[in-house]
Amino acid sequence: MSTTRMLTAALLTLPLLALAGGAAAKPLSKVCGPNNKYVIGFSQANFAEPYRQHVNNDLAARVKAIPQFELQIADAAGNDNTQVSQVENFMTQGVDLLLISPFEAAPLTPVVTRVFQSGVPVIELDRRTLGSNRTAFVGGDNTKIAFEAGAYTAKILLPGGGQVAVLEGLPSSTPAIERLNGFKDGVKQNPKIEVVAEQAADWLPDKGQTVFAAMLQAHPDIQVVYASNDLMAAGAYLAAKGAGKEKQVKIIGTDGLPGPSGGIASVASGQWAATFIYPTGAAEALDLAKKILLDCAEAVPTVVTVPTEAVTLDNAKDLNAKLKF
Amino acid sequence: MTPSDNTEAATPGGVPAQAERPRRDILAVVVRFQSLIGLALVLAGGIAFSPVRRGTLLFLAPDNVANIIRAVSETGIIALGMTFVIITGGIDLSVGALLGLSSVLTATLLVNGGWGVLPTLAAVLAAGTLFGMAQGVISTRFRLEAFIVTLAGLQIARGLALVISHNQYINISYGEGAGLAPQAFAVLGTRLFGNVVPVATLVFLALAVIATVLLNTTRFGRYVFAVGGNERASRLSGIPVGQVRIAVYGLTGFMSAAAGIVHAGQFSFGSPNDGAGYELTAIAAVVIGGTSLFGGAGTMVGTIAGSIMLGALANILQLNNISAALQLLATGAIIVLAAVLQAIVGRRDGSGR
Amino acid sequence: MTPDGKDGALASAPVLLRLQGIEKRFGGVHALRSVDFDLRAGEVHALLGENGAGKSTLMNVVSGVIAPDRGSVELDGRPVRFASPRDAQAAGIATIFQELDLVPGLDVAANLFLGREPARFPGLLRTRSMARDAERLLAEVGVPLDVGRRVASLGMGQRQLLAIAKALAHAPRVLVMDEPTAALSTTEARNLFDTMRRLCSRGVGIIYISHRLEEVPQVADRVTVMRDGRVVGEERPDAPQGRLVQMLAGRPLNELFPPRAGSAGEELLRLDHARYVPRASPAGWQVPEDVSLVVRAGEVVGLAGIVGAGRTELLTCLYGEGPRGRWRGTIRVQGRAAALRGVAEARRAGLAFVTDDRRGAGLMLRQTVARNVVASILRRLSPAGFMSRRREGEAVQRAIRAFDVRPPRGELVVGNLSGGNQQKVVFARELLHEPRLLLLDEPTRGVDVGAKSEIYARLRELTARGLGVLVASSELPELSGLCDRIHVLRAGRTVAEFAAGADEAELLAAATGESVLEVAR
Repeated sequence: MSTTRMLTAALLTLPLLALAGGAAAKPLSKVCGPNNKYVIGFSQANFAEPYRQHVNNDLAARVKAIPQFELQIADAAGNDNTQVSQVENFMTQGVDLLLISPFEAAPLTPVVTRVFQSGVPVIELDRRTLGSNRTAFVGGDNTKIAFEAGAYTAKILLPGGGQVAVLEGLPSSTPAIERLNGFKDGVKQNPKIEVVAEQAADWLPDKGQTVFAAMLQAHPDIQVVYASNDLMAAGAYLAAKGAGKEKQVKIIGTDGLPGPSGGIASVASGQWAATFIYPTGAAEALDLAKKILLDCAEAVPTVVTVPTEAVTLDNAKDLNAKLKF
Repeated sequence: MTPSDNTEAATPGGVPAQAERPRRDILAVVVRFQSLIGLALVLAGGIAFSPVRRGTLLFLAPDNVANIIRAVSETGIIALGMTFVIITGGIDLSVGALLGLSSVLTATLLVNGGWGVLPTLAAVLAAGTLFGMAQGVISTRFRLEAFIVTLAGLQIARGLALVISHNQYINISYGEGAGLAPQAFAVLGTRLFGNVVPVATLVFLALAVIATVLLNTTRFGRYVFAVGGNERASRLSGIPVGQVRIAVYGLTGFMSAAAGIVHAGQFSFGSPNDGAGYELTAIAAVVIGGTSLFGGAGTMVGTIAGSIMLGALANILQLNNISAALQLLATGAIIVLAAVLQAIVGRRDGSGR
Repeated sequence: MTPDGKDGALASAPVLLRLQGIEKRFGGVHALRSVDFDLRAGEVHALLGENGAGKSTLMNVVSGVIAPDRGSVELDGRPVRFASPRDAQAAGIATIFQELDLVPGLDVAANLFLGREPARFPGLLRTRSMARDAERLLAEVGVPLDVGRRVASLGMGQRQLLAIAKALAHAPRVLVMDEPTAALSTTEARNLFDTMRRLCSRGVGIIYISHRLEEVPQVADRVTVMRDGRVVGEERPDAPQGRLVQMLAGRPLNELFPPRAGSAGEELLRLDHARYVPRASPAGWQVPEDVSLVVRAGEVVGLAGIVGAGRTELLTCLYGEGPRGRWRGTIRVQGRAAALRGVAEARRAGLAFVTDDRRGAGLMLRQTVARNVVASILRRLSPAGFMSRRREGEAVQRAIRAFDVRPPRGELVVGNLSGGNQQKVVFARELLHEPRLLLLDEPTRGVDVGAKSEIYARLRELTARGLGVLVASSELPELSGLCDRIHVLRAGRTVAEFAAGADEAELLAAATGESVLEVAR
């Protein structure tokens, strides 16, 4: 990732130092130094989601540049029990640093706490456990990303106002709620915009298609649809095309996945108006790992928020080429 | 007496001859204890391929063994109940959903209902048992396939879980006062004996002992074998077949509820979507354990060994950083092997299936 | 048929099929011992034998299901060796097995052409030409069936005829029929015999396997009797029945049955115009309509009747196992009125039941002898809910000894025992429960002669100790020889009562509702 992005990341970082009295002089990891080999265990919530696959690829590609690191990735397959078991196995194996995207927060909290209290540094990626038993959290800000998508709609896509629809993710999940609210706050910047429909499509493309087709029936004049992830945006495009309205309806996705079937390609081909990258945080997480393990850092920022980037027709082709692994 | 009747003399497969007995018995013994043998093989493999750190075999480290059993404790508890159902020739697909429902119910009662630990446990176990028995009653009374009834049960349990939880997971936080669960419940998420053995593991092992005793030494256990061996013969022998069927589904309901409580306790969490697919893992453990899907034959020890074997296999593959895909392939192969062995012995017994 | 007129012509007819010195062993069982057998064109050659005599094994050799260990098979004078039933079929030998190979869900035409359906590209059935060919085929065989009917809706007799038509589609020279009348009514059986005669007149040779002596003179031109894997002799079809029975059993008929007990004791069961009213009557079920009979302690009472007369149904309903419903009329068990509304009640009243379907409904075949034997008394063996190993072991040993189950090892799997020993296990299980009245349905079906006589002897021992027995059987000699009294059932009603040693022809006449003369013809 570019140095400018690194700088932005650093600027946005909340400068909370892990101050623990006199312990501040102790390195975060018991074993550290630039000349050792280190095993990093990454417990990924679910390989089956395209975004998470993208994170895996990003991490695997970047870790190659750090000869001291060996990365082991385990798939929890969307099951808390499996993920707990994997973290336990990482402990048995004696990994030097745990990287984890917990499938759900509460169930993983006890085991992550145990790892952290045993002295192994823990970096949580994208999703957090409860409490503060971690070395650091790296992730995007869903509310902010969706807010930017809302602002983009208000100012650039529909400066003169119009009807807008929202496809929400799985209703019980935190990102779904954050992205819905963020977007709605963003479009409020333009009072002439009316959100005429908002419904859950559970992150799924087929459901996105069904739901948006129904929305178009009820509100034939919808001009922009905001989909809380790229998959639902793909579904929305099929629905619009089915109704012969792919020119009228401007589609905004979220996640901005690279590759031939990803959201960036859809923007590049002109099917969508834009998508907002939900960052992997891979570069930032590995950067923290380097500081902890190689530089024997005594303190690192506990929260690293990675900013988003808007993908539009202007930059889509370049980005897709750059993000190829 | 002529040692044969018509049918048997005519079919080579059904030969009653004593001559073949020793060979068949060896094979029958292998099948009877197939999961123990399989477990021994997996353990041997685990030891042989275990990574070594600071001179100790990681695979055999006490906390690793405890972890293995913890990882299979929920599906293992379910498999205990499933063994009874499958020995009667039935099947219960609702168990995973019932685990989810029970975990949600536990969390709701403790957190939102302000119930004590013991009343909650009693209520959730009773609810699970009743749910299972209701499936048994419907299946027996209307002579429906258990497959269909419990498939419907799966949907209903998931639906109820979503209704109760308002479509959200419920975190369990401990302490005194409204919205907090009693501290005593947190014990399910802890470890004992020098912080090594998870309480979930102990719950599984305790229920395993109870289930083994129930199946092997009680009248009810015999009823279960008899009903699965031949329902009509059991009825003619005066065995209350309907009641036995209802009871075994009640038992899977009880075990699923117990697993749901363990789930809620381990993870301080009740989620309506948890336990998805557990029914298949449990059935796999039972089949690997040598229990016949056609009913009438099986062992509880086999099921326990089958469950632990699946856990040990996953563990050794992960300790060696081998992909999850291989784990699925290996599990599939083991299930097929177990089924083939059973089929061979079934045919040799000349009893058809 | 006029055997005399045909004898000359048949004796000179060419031999179609000749078996010589056929040997077959299954493990330790010597199933066929140097068997010779031949079949001429245009004749019906009956093959008689008790169960286990080896007749089915012999026919499996003929139809290519199994290969003999030694001996030769000649067809039209040329030696043949069949590797599979398909080979035999191609050579012109068609076999109709007891379990008809029909698919109930398909129609008549589809069944006739099963596995060789005429189709055109890309796999579409030529339904119209199929129906036409099916009609022609059925007409040839003289079987008037609607080709569009589903087989499930046909009676057993019609199914048997359809199976013949199906076998004849291959234009066979030799037709093997294994117990074709087992499930047929008298009229249906006569229809079948007519068809068989028509086939013979066209030069087809038929091997007819049966254990029903009374059918032999009606249909056969020659009779061969087998016992213990050997051919014991050939007879003319009009040979005296007593002689055939002696050949079958290996001893005179009267020696097969133990002497009857002296006196009868208290009344165990009394039915007075009893009828069973089901809420819904299952298809093909003959509900007990009007039954009056008495069984006393020390008596064996027989139930005769043709297939479908309602014998099994009567016993099943008495045992409380019938379809949902209730008894009407008078039923007294040991002098007390009883409703017999369920198995539990029937058992409390002292009834026990041994079903005719031993493998299907009587035993847990994959479990051990011990597990099976104690199934009826689990409650008694588990005082506090936990099984008492000691009591269980004692009960198993007692039962095995009392019924002489061989080998006397409780840990053997029941499915591996012989038919006779399996039946003993069923008896042992029911008797451990110490009933007063034993209901038996076809207690010796599929059991060899030796085991039969043992079972008869055992029954007499039991009645001597005060047990009453109500036994249904389709084997008239058995009823006649074993029972103190015989009731004849027809369409769910008791229509006649006979004393011990009743004449079989009279029994049959009462069972079919036809005059004695007619039946004898």
